[in-house]
Amino acid sequence: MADQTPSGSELLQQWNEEALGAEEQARFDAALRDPEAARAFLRELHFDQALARVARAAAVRQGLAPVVPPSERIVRRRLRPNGVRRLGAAAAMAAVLVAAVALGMVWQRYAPKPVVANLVAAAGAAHLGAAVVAAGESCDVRDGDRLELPERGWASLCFSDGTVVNVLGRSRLVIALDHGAKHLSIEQGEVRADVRKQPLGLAMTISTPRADTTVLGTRLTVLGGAQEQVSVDEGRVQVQRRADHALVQVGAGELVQISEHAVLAVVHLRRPQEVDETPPMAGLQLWLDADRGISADHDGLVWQWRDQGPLGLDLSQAEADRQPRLLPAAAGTHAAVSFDAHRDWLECPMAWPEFHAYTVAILLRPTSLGAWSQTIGCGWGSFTFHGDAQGGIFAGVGALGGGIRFTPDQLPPGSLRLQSWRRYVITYADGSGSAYVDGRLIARMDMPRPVAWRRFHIGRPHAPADEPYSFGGDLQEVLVYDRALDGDSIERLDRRFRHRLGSEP
Amino acid sequence: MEPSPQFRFTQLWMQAQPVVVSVLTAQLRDRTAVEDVMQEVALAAFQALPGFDERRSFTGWVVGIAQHKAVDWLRRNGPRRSGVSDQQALATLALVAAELEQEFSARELALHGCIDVLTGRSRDLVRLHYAEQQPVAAMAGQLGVSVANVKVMLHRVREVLRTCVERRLAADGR
Repeated sequence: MADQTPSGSELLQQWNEEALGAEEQARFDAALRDPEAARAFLRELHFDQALARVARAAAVRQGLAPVVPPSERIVRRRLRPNGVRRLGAAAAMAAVLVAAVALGMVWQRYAPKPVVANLVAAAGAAHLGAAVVAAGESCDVRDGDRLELPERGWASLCFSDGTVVNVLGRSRLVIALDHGAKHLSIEQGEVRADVRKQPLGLAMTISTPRADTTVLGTRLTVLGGAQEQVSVDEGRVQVQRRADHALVQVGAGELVQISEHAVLAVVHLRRPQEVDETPPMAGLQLWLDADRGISADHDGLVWQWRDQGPLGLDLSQAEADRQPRLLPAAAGTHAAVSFDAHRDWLECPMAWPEFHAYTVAILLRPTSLGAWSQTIGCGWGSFTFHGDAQGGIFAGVGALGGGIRFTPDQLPPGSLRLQSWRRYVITYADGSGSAYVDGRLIARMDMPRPVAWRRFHIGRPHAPADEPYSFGGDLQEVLVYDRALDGDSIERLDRRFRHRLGSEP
Repeated sequence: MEPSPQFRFTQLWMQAQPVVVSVLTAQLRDRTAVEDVMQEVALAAFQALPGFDERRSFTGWVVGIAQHKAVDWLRRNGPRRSGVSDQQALATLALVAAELEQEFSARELALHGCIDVLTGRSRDLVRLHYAEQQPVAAMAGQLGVSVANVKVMLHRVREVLRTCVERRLAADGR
């Protein structure tokens, strides 16, 4: 028996093992004699069971699952009451059910309207019905709720099927369910929606004063008010003008402006230039690409940089004065996200899978140099990359509080050059780290085994006053793998970066 | 006006139910067995309600009934997968279960708010595994990823939800 009380999750993990041996079972039972361990174990069991109930309720609410779960249907078939005692018991149960039905009727009469979505206020206070939702807070949105955002506010409506609607500042809209179908009625403002495939016959509609847009599953932006327009990133939507029922289909990369009377003309938008060379996909954990997955406001302030990798490790920043700025793609160039030297940062609050080997590839252009400029990572002990005032780089695993990592002593001086795009790759595996700049291996050294990654950030959330640098630079791409890429893969990644920068013939 | 015994029982039972399910799961492991026994416990508790001392914890009382019913069930059917059988461990579980009633209700309520925040694949994973009770291997085939990947992703979603629940409880001052 270990000296330390096992945690609830450790106990649950043992519990979930299919076959515990007699000795293991005895040890497990003995651990549960400790009230602390018993409490922790019950909490874990309850969390799993509650999650099943809540997930089931959410699925039923969305029409994605039948009301009676499969296991319950089986139980009902298996029950065969017999004898007088059973009949009495059944009568008692019936009484309970009658009471439950009565309660249900009362509940139905006085129950609040159904929850349609969850609102997360990211910047500025959102007014939802009579409630005020402060930045960083979230709140259930019920059928018929009216949402109003201040000038520099933004908020996300998260629906249970994964549909996310970002609502920009100065927007006013009503969120409703129409026979199970999502409906947004925009009085004024702009929404950017990433709509998951909707069930047949339950298309989402987004109405503006002049038109109704029918969405089956796509990414689009709808602007309502004095000027109205619908633009589509992916998929296809149908827009119908109310006044004359004129109908138009708008596809990916297209935009339609909805005037009161003029013809509904679909305009083809210019698509960002694609990079031919795809990055290696095996072991890809995070892929930030400034050409896609950026959510920015009218001023180009980026509130979200979405991960294009398999894990959805999106980065975000709720406070407008700490948001980096999007540098849109122009002729022959790709988009970049530009971070101010002292204020801007983005963070991924999600937990990472545990891995103990990695590759981090960064396409970076410094715009300012200082102690702790260009900071990317999770902290020493796992991975950090940052520059100094002379253009030197500190990078690698390191140790908590500093220590074993690449420093400007090991890497050539001026590894970071002001206003110059460069390609940086740091790998770690089996006690050894390697650093590549512009495709060339420039250093290798022993490093400790990294601890798990958490709270990955670009820029420094809490820069002290005496070392105020956070970032100071532009980023086009950041990729993280759960393995040290081999030479061929690093070359492939570097080809992609070079192609992106236009330096690949 | 005094509430009817049925109404009173429904109120108490709904609050105690999550705790009772957890304790029975510890003892029986088998989900369908737990559901069978839960129905027997509800009937037995309802029948015995007139004798219930209101000064005692209803949850503690009903957990006691549940543990006896579980022993009966195991005697009739034999264990399908062995659960906790150590008497001292069972007594400890019963003891702590009664304290957890309020906490479990609050956590489940918070979880209702948190689950709607999930998006994309996280949302799909929770639906497939928890709502539709699909095994991890089947999900891996459906999603086109490895079993290990599904386990990692499920672990991550659980952690996200757990953090969300803790935040909500902290915000509510619990």
